[in-house]
Amino acid sequence: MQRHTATEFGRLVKRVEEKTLHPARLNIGSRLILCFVFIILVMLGADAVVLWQFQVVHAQAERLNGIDQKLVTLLRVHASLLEFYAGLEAIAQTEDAGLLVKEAGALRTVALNDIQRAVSSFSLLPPDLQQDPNFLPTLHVIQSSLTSQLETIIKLATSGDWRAVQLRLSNQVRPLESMTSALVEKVDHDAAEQRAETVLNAGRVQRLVFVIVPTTAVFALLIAATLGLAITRSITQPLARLVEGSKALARGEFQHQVTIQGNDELAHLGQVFNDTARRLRDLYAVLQSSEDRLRLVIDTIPAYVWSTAPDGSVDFINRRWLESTGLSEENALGWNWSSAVHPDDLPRYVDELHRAFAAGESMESEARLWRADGKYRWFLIRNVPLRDELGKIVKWYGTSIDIEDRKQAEDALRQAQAYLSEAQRLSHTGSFSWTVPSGEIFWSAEMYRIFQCERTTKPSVELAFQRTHPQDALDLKQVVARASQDGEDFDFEHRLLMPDGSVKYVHVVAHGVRGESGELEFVGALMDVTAVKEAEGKIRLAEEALRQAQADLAHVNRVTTMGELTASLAHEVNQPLSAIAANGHACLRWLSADPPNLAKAREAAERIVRDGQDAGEIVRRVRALFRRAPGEKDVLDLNEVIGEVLRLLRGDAGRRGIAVETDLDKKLPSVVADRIQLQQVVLNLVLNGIEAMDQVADHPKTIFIRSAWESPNAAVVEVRDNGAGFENPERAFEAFFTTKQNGMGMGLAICRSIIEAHHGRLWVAPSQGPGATVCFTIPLKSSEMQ
Amino acid sequence: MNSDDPIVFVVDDDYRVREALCSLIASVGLRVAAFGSAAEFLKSEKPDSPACLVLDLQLPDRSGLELQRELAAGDGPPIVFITGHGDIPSSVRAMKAGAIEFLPKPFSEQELLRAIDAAIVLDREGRRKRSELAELQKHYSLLTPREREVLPFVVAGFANKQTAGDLGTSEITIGVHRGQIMHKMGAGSLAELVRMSDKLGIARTPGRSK
Repeated sequence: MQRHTATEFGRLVKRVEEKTLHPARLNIGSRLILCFVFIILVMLGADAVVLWQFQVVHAQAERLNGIDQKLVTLLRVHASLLEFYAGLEAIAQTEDAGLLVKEAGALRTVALNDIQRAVSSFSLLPPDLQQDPNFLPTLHVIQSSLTSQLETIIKLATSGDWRAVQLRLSNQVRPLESMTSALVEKVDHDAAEQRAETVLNAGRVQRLVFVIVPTTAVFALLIAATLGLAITRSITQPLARLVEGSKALARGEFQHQVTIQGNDELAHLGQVFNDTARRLRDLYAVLQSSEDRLRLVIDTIPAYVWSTAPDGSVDFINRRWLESTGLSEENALGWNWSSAVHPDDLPRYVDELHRAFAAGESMESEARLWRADGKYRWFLIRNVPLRDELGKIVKWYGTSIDIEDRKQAEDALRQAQAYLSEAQRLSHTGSFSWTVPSGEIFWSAEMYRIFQCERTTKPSVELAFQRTHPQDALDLKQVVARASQDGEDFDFEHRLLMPDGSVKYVHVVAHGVRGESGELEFVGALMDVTAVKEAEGKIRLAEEALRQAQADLAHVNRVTTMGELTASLAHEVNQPLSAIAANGHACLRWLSADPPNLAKAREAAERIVRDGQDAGEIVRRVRALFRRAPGEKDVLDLNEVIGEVLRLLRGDAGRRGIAVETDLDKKLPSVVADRIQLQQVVLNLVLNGIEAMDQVADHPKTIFIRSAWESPNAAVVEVRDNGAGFENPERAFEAFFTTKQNGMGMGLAICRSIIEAHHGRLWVAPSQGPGATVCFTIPLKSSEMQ
Repeated sequence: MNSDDPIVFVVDDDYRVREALCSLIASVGLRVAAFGSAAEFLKSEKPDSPACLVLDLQLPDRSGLELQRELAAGDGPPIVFITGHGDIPSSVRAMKAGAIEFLPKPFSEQELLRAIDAAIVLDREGRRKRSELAELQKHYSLLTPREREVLPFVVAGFANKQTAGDLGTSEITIGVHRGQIMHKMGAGSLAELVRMSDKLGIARTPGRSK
């Protein structure tokens, strides 16, 4: 019995544990209620068993009690029968019939009442006790036979047959007595049986109760303990996890998540916890990013940003400041920032800072701050206090912005103003503004100087007119009147007559502008050009002198060139002359031969004629070259001019072993130039080239002349040789600079002045390889006409 | 005309002068060939006959003096220079380099023709000498190296014995060499051999090899 209970309990605990430790399917409340209901049911069951057992014992006792009553009733019937018979026998002894009749009725009533009582009490007994089949019939037989026997007895007694009465009494009434006694015996026996059984049952029940009650108690206790344990565990474990999670949260580990099992309240709590943690994490991330952003903003704005405690010690400083100054964060905090301030600015700045702190008011200052690159730059520094609700200063916020460029610009502006003023003074240029409607005039310092007025004089249009030379005043007034009407710019030159009688030439330029409100204003400059005017006159004279000198020089050069050409020209004429002489001799010989060879003689004579013409042509060309006086400009074909010169020089070049190559652009339009001068230039350049190649022995000597378009308006002529080249190209144009033994050193200088007089340019081009290249440009006729 | 007929070459860049000279020279019965430049002249086939070169001092491709220098290296004909404007330095140089005459233009025909004649005579003589020398050289080329070694001793008048001593060989060997030299050179006597070696420019004092 004990072992059975133990195994049963073990199974039960296991099952309960499985149910509760496994994913909690039920809420804790339901779980607890179920648990308690289960315990109560177990206890109720145990109680019911006990009650049932008590009921069994009670029924047994009841039955025993009924049997006892039946027995008592039966005994009473038996006793009353006995008494009835005893009474009858007593009367019968007396043999008094009267008495018998008198007494018999009473006796019978008593007996019958008892029997009736017995019957009724029997019917009250539990049905299972009424089941005795003999009992009631016996009683009914007794009841019915008793009355009849009594009447018989009475009759016999009345008849006086006492003997029969007595017989009858003993024969007929006695069996009735034995009947009841048999009944009594039987009932008594039943009663004894029942009693024994009852006692047995009572003992069994007693034993049962002894077992059931403690078993039930222990069982209920164990179940309660197991369930309690299981439930406690199912509650404490998630709780522990929650506590762990909470601690993690407290530490700021927002990514911590609680493991969730089942779907009970703790699971919900865990879910809520996880959600909360997640939301906290998101919130923290948002907070972090917004802080990062703020930090980024603070660190990247082009300014230094810091905050200080109310006493002025720095507790925050942005990275830009640190990077710029090169200080570390520890070095910059506190009061160390002062090392970054220029020593010259520091006392003033600290003083201003103290004053601001004392007054509790914002401050603004400028100071030079150190930069890591070793330079100080100007900064605009601002400090602003932050107050709490009570108005107490809790922090100071500060910024500084680089204003170095602005400072420099200011300096530059100041300097520029100074320069402008100086420039005006030096250039004798004054500036002015004139607001037409109000007549208000501003003059720069130089204006006062030019007009020879005191600085205190108030400038006005009238003052300007007053100083103007009387001959120009009218014109000026007209110009000013027109300008003030239509607002157009004006540019005017006039004279001033000074109080001392001297005359100044001034040039006024003014530009009209409309102000915001539409009023007309002139801004302008007035330049004292007296010196320029005087200089212009001098220059004109000098230029004329120069032109004359150039013409003279050109003449000298031409003569010199002719001298240089003489040898060449002599040779040029000599050739045909030699041929003529030789041909003449040959002709004579052919004629004087025997027989005369007339054909040969004729050929020789023809050659004489031809060569004579050649010689004449050469003379004609030379004359053409120097025929006219310079100074007359004609429409010329540039290539023709070059060709004339080359024809003159080709022979000379050939004799010197120089090949003459040309590349002349046949499509070049005409130029307008002095033929003689242009020839002189080409002649000079080609002769220079030829002479430069005198010493050349290692390569063929070539002189190359090219004409081409230089631009739509100008032609270029290039003369290139492969001779010695220029050692110093620019010096080549200096007058009297020569590398020739018998040169004057004027050639290129004169060529350049001739070309420049024709609005062209002449220069030495850098040349590849040996030799020199000299180029000149000359405007084409079309552009000359424009 | 046979090959001994002299020829006159005219080199002048001026066609007028060229033509006139050709006509003049041809009129005295000389063969004449004209060229416009030195290069043309150098390129041309020249007959193997006595010749004269009438050369302009200034030519387009090179100067007459240069051409003279080039021709002097070979067997160029004697040169008569003509020039349009001759200067003294050029004429001196030309004459020093062996020019026959240096005539400034315009020149007289007699002077020119005389100079041409003189030049042809000179060239004829020169050609003769050159052919003689060529003959000698042909003989000389037949000598063995050892014989050429011995020859200077012979013409210097060394005795065989002395020569043998100097050359480290026997007197008899030198005698044999001597005979071969005389035979190969076609010399009839020692005196003739000496003249020949003079013409060939062989030094009479033998170079000692040791």
